[in-house]
Amino acid sequence: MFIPTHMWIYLGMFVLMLCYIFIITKYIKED
Amino acid sequence: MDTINKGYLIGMLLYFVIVLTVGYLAARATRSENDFALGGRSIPPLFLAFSFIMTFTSSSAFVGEPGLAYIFGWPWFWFAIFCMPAVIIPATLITKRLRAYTGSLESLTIPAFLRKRYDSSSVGILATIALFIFYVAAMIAQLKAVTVIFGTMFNLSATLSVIIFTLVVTIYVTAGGFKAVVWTDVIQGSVMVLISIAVGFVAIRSVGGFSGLNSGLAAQGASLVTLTESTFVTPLAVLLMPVWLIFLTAANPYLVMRHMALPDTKKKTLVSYFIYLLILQGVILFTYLGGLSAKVLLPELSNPDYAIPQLIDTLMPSFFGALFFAGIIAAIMSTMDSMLILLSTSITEDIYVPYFRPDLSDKGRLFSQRVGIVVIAVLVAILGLIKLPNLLSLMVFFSVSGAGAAMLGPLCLGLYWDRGTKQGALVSMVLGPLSYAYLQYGMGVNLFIAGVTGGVIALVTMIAVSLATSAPSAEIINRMRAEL
Repeated sequence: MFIPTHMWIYLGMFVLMLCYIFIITKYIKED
Repeated sequence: MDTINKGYLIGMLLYFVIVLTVGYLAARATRSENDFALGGRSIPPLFLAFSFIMTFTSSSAFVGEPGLAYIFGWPWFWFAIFCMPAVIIPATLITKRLRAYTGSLESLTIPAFLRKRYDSSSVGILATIALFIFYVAAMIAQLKAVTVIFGTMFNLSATLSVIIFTLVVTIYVTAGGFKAVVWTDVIQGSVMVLISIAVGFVAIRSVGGFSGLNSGLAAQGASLVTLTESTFVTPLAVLLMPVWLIFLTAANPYLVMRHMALPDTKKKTLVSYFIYLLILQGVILFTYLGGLSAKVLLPELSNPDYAIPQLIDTLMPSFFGALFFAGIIAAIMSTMDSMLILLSTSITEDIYVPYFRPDLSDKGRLFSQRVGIVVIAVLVAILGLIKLPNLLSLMVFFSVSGAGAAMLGPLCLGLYWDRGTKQGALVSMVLGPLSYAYLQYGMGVNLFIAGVTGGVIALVTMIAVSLATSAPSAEIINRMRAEL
């Protein structure tokens, strides 16, 4: 099935942001 | 549409009844100024995430921005792509500090926080005035969206649309405050998420899949299927778009007030809040696929703002259409109600109480917030009836860019940089929005370039003026950090 370039980038951005959340929240100090 | 669709009418009336009931229930749970402005800081992260996304996407996700997808084709899709980092990156960077600092300094609004952070009533007043100017303009743009929807659905005149809508919003926000805002966002947000996915899916299917969409778009203009285009979504604009969006979501108080309302700053609360935000933002802009498909299915639309309403009317069953239209109205309400609460609380806290009634009781403040909402809503409705903007989303972008440029220096630097001073904040709040407005409207510079330049000028002036003036009191900074 044909998927336009913008849709691939959209999916890629979603995955990237998910990874970002898991990485950055490792640095949150627990209260 | 020549005749009024009864399904739409019943759906809309039902929605108004739900909203007013929620307003009534929330009013019973609202006993203090804190309850009214921030829901008593006891609302679960999932609900706040719904509320943030519904407010951020606002009417422009369903009316204005699909209109831009209709005009510019796939290049406009960059906007949907960059909305995800624009929501997530600022949220991860400012939520914990903002929640902790506003808690320590007992601030219900961003202007109140700035007033205490910089120990300056001028900073609080100037912030309130700047937000008032830009958010009143943003609310007028929301009224334009209302007239588009009610015009398409019920052939209602612009005047009657504005009056009915303003009346409903004013009643439930005045009664239930922030709790009513969040609860209505959750009810409609959950419906809208499902419907955005459905609209995207049905629209793409009706044009014969992505390959059908692209060949249909290409037949109408080669620039509709390219990565960028040469008039508005230029390569430079695409590069600056995420920076501009991040400035907006980091610095617009009507959005970041959700971060302030989190129940606590524990790791578990924050992680779940961020993930909910990402998932909701990820699916809500599938409406752009509707805007693109409308270009193929309805190429002769006189006003691109009508792309999604017309598409729904053409493709969807009546019941579905009623839900969708009620959802759009909810999205419009969720932007307008947040701005009303923020402005009325700011005016009460930063102007009315300190200068006119310093001895006002909590009950009196609550009453003042409610009166403020009615007064501002009436003012917006009157201004809206005098003149409505032509292209909705551009008016919204102007308002949130201006307010963002005003708040970026004092708010975002104020959270991370202890050396920031009140003089820096004051100059930044004036020069940021003025330089943005001059670039865009005085010199005709592209929205994204003007927005980013305005933001950079705001940050640079904040740093330069702060360094040139004496450091703020260490006592306030230490008190602010008490809960971090």
